[in-house]
Amino acid sequence: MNDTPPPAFPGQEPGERIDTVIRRHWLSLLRDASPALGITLLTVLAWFLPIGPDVDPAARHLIVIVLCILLIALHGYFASRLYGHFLRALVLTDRKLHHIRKTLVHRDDQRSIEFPILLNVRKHQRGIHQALLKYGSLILETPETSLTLRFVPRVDDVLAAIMAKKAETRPDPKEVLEEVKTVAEQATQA
Amino acid sequence: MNAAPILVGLLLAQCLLAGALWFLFRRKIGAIALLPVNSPLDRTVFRHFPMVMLGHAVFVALLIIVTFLFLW
Repeated sequence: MNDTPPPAFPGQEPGERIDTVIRRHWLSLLRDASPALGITLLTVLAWFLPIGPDVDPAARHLIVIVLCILLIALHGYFASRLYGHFLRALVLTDRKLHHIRKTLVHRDDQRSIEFPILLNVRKHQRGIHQALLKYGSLILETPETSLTLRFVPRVDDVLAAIMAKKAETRPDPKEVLEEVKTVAEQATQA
Repeated sequence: MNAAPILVGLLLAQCLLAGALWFLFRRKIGAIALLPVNSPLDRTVFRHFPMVMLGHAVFVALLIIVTFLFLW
């Protein structure tokens, strides 16, 4: 019988322990909600517009239909972004950093970076709102590529956690030296 | 122009869109749903997610109905 528990997220290796899970800051949703908020406000304002008998009924009907179609479309867009918010996660484990990003239809990405190959981590915090709400961007650089994470909440804590993990998983220099020596000896013998 | 068929058509479109988005979300969320959610606001929304999304769909439907009542 197989006693290995099923992975808690795509890409988790057997025995890999989850330390921290980070989702985007809630403020990222405000930008996605603004079209829906705008059309709602416009519709509510339109309710109180004084419409006289001289207004062409066909034009009025057209305005109502257009308003309702916009309401459905923009609120649908907001709902899809809200779903997308929960389909995205950054998982720090004892071995790797996993970035999971899905959308409702076309995207299903999962990127993993092992801590020892992480070359550099940069933090960007611009504007007073980012400093006050303690969020910002992180840029993770590896020898092959770089990964930009936006709207990271508690960005200083996350940066500290990643740097600590990187230091923990760094290979011992003595072991690396021994390995290099062994490889060099094997090469000379060959 | 008769308002009833247009109103029913728009409400049906709203129901179908909300239902389709929910169906796609349930298909995609999988194991990620088991991962913890950090902020208290996110946690509250995620805990009552079906009710939140149903509430949102009903809110849009009500906006449409009231718009028809006021402006048609």
